[in-house]
Amino acid sequence: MKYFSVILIALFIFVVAFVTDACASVAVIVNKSNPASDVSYNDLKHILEVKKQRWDNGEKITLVFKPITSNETQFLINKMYKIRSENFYQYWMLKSYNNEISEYPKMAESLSGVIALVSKIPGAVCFIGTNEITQCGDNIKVIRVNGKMPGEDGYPLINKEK
Amino acid sequence: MMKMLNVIAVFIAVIMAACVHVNAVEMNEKEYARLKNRLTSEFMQKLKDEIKHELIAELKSEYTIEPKQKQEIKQKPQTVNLTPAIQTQTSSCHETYDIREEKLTEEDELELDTAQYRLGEGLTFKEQMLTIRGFGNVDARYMDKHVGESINQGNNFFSLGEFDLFITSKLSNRISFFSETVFEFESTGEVVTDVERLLIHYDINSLFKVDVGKFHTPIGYWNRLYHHGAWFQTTVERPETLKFEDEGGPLPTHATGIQLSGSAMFEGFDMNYLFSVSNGRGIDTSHQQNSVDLNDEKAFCFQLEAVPHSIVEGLRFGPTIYYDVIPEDETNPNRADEIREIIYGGHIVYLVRNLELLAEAFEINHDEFSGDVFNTFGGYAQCAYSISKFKPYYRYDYINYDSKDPFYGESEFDFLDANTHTIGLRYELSHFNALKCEVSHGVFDDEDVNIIRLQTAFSF
Repeated sequence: MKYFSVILIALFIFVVAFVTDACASVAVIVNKSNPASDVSYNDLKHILEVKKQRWDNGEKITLVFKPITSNETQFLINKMYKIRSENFYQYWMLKSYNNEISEYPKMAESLSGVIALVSKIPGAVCFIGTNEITQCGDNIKVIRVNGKMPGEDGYPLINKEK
Repeated sequence: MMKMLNVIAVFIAVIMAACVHVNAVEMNEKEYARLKNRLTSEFMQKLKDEIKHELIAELKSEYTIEPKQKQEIKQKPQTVNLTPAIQTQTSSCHETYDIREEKLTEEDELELDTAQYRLGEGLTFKEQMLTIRGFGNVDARYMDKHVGESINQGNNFFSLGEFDLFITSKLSNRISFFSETVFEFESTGEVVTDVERLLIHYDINSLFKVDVGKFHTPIGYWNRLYHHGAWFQTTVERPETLKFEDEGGPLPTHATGIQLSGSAMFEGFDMNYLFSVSNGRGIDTSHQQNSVDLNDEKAFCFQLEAVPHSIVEGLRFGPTIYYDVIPEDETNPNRADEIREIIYGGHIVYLVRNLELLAEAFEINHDEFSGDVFNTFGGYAQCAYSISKFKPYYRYDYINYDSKDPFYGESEFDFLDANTHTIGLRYELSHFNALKCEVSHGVFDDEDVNIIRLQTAFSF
């Protein structure tokens, strides 16, 4: 009976962890000085593809990525860029080679690196896990996507394959 | 005797006084020099700082919408508990930063401020976001038969492809410089240096961007996307129709002039446009008019591209039209007239994850103003599919020249009709090196030719 309870609890924890993890949202963070509080999914896609290179106030958008192996960056590569992760470097080199970008996106090695970059660069935008929002500090804010905050129904950036 | 002693005493006193004076003078000189050095270095430092700040302010204000809010924020020192250990890893195309959590010292803060520009601003003249990259390729080739001008070559050989230096620099928030210089290894043994692209780019907004200089003519998709770095393209060779002018290509792939481009982004689909005005072609196919135009007519090129990403992700297609008047060649009686050139083209491209489908077609009309019109038709279709590091591909090339067209007929190159099938395999040895192997079977002017090509293409 005792073992059965332990197994049940373990199973419950596993299922809860699986369900919550399986549908983790990806939060969009920007520098607090950025007046944008909401961005449409369409605009977000254009920002990621560097077709839209400036915020509405004229500030240059600087893309900041977590390491390529992170769940969030993998999510962007698969769902937004729709390319193979092996081609991610090539994708940006081709953008540079075609004169579509004058500088490459930033790729931080760690969450603290992401936070530092987004804190320092007024036009920075980055994608992090919702569980990491609390570590962001005062100089960073989370913005809505299609009017929804991460965790709300209809929030479009859901990493189902996590 | 006393008198003598007095004289000696006075003499010694004079010598001592002289020595003291000389020492004093020496000391003064040293002090003076030290003071002078200090003042000079302080002055120079001040001057340098002033010039630096002025230049930074100038660069930032130039063509820049600097929001007031941002300026206010910049004025406030931001306290970030991070070290300045900011390392740029040149091994990848991304700048990678290793920022460790530690308290800052005063010196560190200064260093972090300098690095801040690297992080996002990139506007100091010291770190002007200058990037130098390069591309290269080495090929090996076997042909079972020679056609055209290659008749004197051997059947199999190694070949240095192109050595391509690619330099970009961000001059301000909205202005960047861009150049591509290629060292080409000719069959005669010569090394030719060719500036393939050199332009200054003005990024006004997403709807309106201006390039001034030498660029690739916005004709079709391949010519706009793939330039001289063979590493980018899936295949070893460019399609027959899109070969460069100096390799015997039929299209004007380079242009010197002004190009406008932009994207209109709508809900569900985007429209891209490119419009260029340039000097156009010279007297023959390989003549690029980089510094003068032999006639007053300008070449116009317009391309429209639809990207319906909400309907079919990865699909893009659109038409191109090119107009030019090719100057007459006074040395050649068959080319005594100007030729009006109109090129119609279209592309359809589907790129999603592992799949690559490209197809383009062009019709080149040459009209001698005398009523004679010559039509050349060419195109290609290519498909590729990535499986892990391997990418098998197939391409069909077709080009049919008008044999009476004086522009192609009187050229230094043999413009041969081609009908070729190519299958190949690309293998990504690393992020920056690809090995390619392909076999082509083609009919060039009714002659069957089989070609095997091997290539290692790299970026550094």
